[in-house]
Amino acid sequence: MNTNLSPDQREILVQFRALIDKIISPVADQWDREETIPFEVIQTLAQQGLWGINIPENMGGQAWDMMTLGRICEEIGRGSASLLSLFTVHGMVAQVLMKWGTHIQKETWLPKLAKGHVLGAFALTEPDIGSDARRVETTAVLSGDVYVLNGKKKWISCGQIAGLFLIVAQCDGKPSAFLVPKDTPGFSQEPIRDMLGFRSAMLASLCLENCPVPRDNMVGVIGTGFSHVAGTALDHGRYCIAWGSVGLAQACLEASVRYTHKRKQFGVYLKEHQLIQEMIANMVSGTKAARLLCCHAGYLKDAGDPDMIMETAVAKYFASQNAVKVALDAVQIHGANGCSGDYPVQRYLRDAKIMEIIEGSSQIQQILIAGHGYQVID
Amino acid sequence: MPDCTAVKAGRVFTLTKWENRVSVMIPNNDIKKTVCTFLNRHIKNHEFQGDEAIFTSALFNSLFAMQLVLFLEKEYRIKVENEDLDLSNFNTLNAISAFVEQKASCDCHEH
Repeated sequence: MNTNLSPDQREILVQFRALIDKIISPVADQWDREETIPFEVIQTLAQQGLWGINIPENMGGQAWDMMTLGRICEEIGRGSASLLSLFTVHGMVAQVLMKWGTHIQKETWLPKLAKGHVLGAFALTEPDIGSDARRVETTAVLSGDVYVLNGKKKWISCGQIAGLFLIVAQCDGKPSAFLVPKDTPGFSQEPIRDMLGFRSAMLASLCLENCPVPRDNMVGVIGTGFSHVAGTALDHGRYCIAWGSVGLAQACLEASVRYTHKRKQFGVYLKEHQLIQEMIANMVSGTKAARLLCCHAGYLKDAGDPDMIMETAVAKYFASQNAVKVALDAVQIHGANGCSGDYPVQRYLRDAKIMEIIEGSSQIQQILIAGHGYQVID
Repeated sequence: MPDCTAVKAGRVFTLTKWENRVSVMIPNNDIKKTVCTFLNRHIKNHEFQGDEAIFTSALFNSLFAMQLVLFLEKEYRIKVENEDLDLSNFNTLNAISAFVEQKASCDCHEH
C-alpha cells in the first residue's frame, strides 16, 4: 500500500486545506451555536466542486479517487464535523445512484447533486428503529403507477435542507429503497434542535403521509433496500466518517499543541510537563494509526477489493473511538478553558461522541469485526 | 468494460476474436469452485451445495451482499448493475455461476 500522495492529489488537498482554514474553521463554533450552516457556504463549496467529488465527470462531477476523497473528508472533519455530516450523506446518495441507479435516475439526479444544486440525504433511521435497520416500519404500497409511502424517519442529517431523500421502506414486507424529492405531496420535514453534537448538521424528522412516489423512483428492486442499497450507502458513510474522525482528532491535537506552547503553569509551559507529553504522544500515535487504517480502506476501495467493506468498518470503529479519546484529552489539557465556548475543543468532544454512533454504532462495528475475526482466524 | 485479454493467468478461458467482438467462456465448475472458496472465507467448514440458498440462510452478516457483489466484479471483471439486481441471481452457487457466465459473455460482446 502506497500512502504517498501524487502531485495532483497534493495540490487538491492543499487547496481544500486552505479553504477549510479560511471559511470553515474560524466560524464552525458560531455555526454550532446557531445550529446552521449558511447557504452561501454551501454554494461556495459547490463552486469548488465539493459536492461532486465522487461523481463521474460525464455527470458533472470530479471523479476523484477514494483516497483523495478520504483525505478531503479529513480536512472537512478538521474544520467542522457538522459539515462533514452533510458531505457524507450527500455522497451516500450519489454513491447509491452511481452503483444501483437506473439510467434515467442517474441522468436526472447526478448532475444536480454534482453541482450542489440539490443536496441529498439518506433516510433509514426511524423513531423506533435504529441499529435494527432491516425492520424499518415505513411502508411502500404499490397503487397504480405509484408507490404510496407512509411512515416517519428521524435523526436525518441534512434533513432540513436536502432536496432529494433516499428512503428505505418495507414493500411487500421486504426492505426497499425510493428516491423522494422534498416537494413530493405528503412529505414534510421538521428541524431537530439541541443535539449534543453535529449541531449544525441541520438534522430533521421526516413525515411521509400517503406520499405518491413514481414506480421509476425505486432504487434497486424489492428486497434489496437494506442488503445492497443501504449497504452501499453505509459503506460510503462509514468511510467518510472514519476519515472525518481522523480530521477531528487532528484538530484536537493541533489545538492542544498550540495551547501547551503558550500557557504556563508552575513556571513552565504546559508542554514541559511529562503528563501533558503523555497525552500528546497518545494523541499523535492514535491519530496516525487511525489515518493508516483509513488509508488501507481507501487503497482497497480504489482497487475494488471486497475486503474494503470490513476494513472500512475497522477504520470507522477505531477512528471514531480514537476521536473521543483524543477529544477528551484535548479538553483535559485545556482545563476550564476547554469546557468553555472560548475554545473549540468542547465542540470537538461533543462531535466526537456522535462519530461513535452514526453510520453504525461502535457496538454494531464490534459485532461485525469480531464475527469476521472468528471466521478468518483458525 | 472488462479487458478480456488481460484476465489473470491460471484460469481457463476461450478467447475468440472476430472483428471487434470477443467472447469469453468461463467453465461453470471453475466459477462454483472460486465462489465457494470466497464463501468459505466468510463461513469456514461449510460445504456449500450448488442449490443451497445463500441469502435466505442466516449464515452471513449484513455486509455480505455487497462483499459478494464486489468479489464477482473484481474476480470476473464484470459490472453488476441495476438491471442485474435480482436476488435470484445471487442466492445459490448455481445461480451465481450462471449469472457470471451470462454477464461475462455479454460484457465482452459489448466490449
